[in-house]
Amino acid sequence: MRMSNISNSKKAAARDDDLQYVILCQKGKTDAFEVLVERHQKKMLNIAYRMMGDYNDACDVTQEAFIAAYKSIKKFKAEAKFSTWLYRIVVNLAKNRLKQLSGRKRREGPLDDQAGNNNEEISGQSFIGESDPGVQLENREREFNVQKCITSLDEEYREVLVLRDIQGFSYEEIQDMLKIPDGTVKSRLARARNALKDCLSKVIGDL
Amino acid sequence: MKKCRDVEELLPLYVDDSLSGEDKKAVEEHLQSCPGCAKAIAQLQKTKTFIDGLHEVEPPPWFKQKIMAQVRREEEKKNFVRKLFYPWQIKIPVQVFATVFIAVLAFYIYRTGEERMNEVVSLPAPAPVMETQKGQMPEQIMKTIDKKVQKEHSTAAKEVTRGPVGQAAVDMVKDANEYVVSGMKTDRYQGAPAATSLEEAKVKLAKKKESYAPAAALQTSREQQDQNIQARSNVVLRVTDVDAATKEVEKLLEKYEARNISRQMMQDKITLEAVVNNQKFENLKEHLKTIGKLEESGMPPDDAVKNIILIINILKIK
Repeated sequence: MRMSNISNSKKAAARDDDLQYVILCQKGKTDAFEVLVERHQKKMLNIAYRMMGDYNDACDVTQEAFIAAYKSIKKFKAEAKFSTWLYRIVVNLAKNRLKQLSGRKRREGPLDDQAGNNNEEISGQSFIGESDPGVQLENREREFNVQKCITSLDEEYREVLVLRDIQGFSYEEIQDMLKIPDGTVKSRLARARNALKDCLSKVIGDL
Repeated sequence: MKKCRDVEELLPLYVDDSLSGEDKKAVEEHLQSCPGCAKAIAQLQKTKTFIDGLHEVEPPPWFKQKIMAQVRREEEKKNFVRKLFYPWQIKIPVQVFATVFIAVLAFYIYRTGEERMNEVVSLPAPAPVMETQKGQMPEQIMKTIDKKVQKEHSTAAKEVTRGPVGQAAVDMVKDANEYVVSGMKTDRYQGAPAATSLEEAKVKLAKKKESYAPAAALQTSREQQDQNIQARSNVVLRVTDVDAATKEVEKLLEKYEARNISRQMMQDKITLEAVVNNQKFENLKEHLKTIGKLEESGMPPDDAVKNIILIINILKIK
């Protein structure tokens, strides 16, 4: 089982478009990293954003993740796809940041209103294409609630849900990213979906 | 037929068709007869559409540039550290560094060694402090000095004669007699009167006696030198700390170029003995007074005397 995983990863690595730039970075060509940032910044940011629910925090964490990746790029051994390696970094950093934030929130008291306003503003960006202001408002509210429910999930459920249902990674990729067995990914995902469904039923009413 | 509870875990995976054939079949069978689970499936599908409807957020403007700026700062920091620890871009083999290091180290050691050597060499000449045993009195040292002087003289005298003056005289008489005999012998062939030759012999003897004079002169100078050394001065120095004072006095003696310094330790006193230049003696005494209470016994030595055997008895103040 493990053997097949490794060979799969190797196959994936063989098809890795990022690899040539990664090698350049490993040789000290800083400019090559720009290509990798360009390619992955949006996905990185969205993973962080869905994990954290706060746009600014997500930006910070994404930036932090890129720096961390650059610093340890020599440790990347091409056993998996570079993107998988990179996304693992952002997921871990987001989790760490959430722990820090929850600790701070517990000490300083909730600051929900501010964060909420900020997020509504940010998510507003995405609905510019929608002409009907009523539909726009409805979409915005729904999205806000969905995100609120995602953020309310336990960390281990949240990460599989974000990676599978929002980002659309394969079970294999998620396995590599989170370093958990296939069965665990599936069972966590099932629980995450059920929990999200329950949360949305509560928040929005009858689905 | 599975129960709702068993199916509950499978329903979310049924939605995106990620169940195995067997589980999928079981769920489908269950759904047909369970409205609750059918409703749950509907809700899950709705949730899925909601999730699918989530919009992606865009990175803020200049996000990439910001990241790259920070990456370059990191790179500079790394380079700075690298330059700090490896200031040479050219990779010089470690052996070269090692060789240079050893050379510098060796030179440094050599230099410090030389300085030390100079210090040692520049010290006032031979001032070895001999620790004499109890009972080994100054006479013994005198003997050694005498022997030394005698040796010098005897080697000088050897060129003239083998023994002391008396012996030389006996030899001379022998010589003269031989000369007379030989004269008489030559007389046989030359026919000269024996008396004349005897007179001649006597003159020659006188001449030969004169030639012995340097030996005698050396003898006198030697006696004088002995006299010089033998001028003694005995002083008592009363101090609170005998050991410390002894060290100080020894240093002082070295400073005044005293020779043949010896130390004798007794139960309640330490006796230092050294040969000092008479001209420096007065100054030395002045210095000794700073160390402790100085008491002089006997007459101060004559100015004509060159060297003094100085005996300093260091006693504890009672």
